[in-house]
Amino acid sequence: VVPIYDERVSPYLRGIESRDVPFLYFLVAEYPESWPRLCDKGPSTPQQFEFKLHDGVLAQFLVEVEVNGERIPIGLVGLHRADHLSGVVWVESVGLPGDHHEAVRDRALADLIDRAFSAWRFRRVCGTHHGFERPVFANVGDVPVREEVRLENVFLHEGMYWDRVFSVITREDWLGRQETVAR
Amino acid sequence: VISIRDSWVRLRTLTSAEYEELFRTEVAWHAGAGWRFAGRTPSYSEYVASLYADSIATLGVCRLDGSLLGVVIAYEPDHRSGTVWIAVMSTRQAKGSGLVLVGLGHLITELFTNWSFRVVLAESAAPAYEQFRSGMRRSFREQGRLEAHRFSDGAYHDVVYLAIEREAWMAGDGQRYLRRRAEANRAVLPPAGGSAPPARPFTVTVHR
Repeated sequence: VVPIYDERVSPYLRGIESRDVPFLYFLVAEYPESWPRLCDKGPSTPQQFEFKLHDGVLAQFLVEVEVNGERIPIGLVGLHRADHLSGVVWVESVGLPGDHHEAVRDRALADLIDRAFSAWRFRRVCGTHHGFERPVFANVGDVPVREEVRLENVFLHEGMYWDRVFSVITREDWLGRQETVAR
Repeated sequence: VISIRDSWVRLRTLTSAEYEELFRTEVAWHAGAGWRFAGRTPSYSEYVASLYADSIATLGVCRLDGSLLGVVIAYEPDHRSGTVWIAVMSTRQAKGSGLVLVGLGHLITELFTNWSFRVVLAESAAPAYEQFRSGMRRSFREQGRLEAHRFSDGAYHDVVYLAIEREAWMAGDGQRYLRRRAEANRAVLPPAGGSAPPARPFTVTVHR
């Protein structure tokens, strides 16, 4: 049970530790569609899951919030499939559903995108979501998000075929943005 | 094990000697910084493993005399949604001949004939896609392009995403186009044995 907290709280980001794996495994079990990198190829044992969690990852962080003096995990944001030759990296943002969780996770994702463009020389940060999901860059700030690819009717979910969308934020757009995310 | 043969090409499993040939082709200095490994030079064992990563079919496309022209791969199957991705790679000698694409056409037919896939997906660097797009509009549906997404040969290129649907492909336009294209390019790669291959219908053999 996750306590209710003020959705304006700032997220805490930290590295993944062994004690976090059960929470992340729970996310995969409960919301498999939201984490295609780990779930598209079917279920994993806990041991396989721990390997896949870090496979191909450039950087990833557990997202926590502070409630009554205690930090509780609400999700994960990460960079993976880094292509330094082409200056491209993909993001993922997964976690507990609900508007207040997503609002906090969006701020964590915005921080991570900031790092992708400031700590590395990436030109493009890409994300993917299914048609029934909230777009991955839905609320990361006042920045143009380019929907560049829409694979039509390629994912079966609850009896319907849904699109898979690839979206991109470019370095120029991000660095020139007007920050609107509440801090 | 899948084995497909027609009057132009033969698809069969790769031999270990061919792994070395492919490794030399893809990791050669003149091949540039390959996109598959984002410019890295993989170890030989990593390279061979990559040919089979999440693959349901990795097949050599050969001339009838057995010499290797390229490789076609079907990978990342999603049996629940009925989708699978395909990839193709040509040896230096076969580039521009169109024969490896004939082999790719056979693989697509196989995926729709002996598997229950609804859609075959592919990604292609824009320069490669431009070479065959005109004849493929009826069979390949463009789903968008990641702009200036891949760096090679000193420039950023778009990456085009394509979908091939079962109904469109099985209507035959795509397969016919690939054969016409290979026929037009015959001079690029002389047929095995130095003479035109005998005309005969292609056959597909599936050994499971």
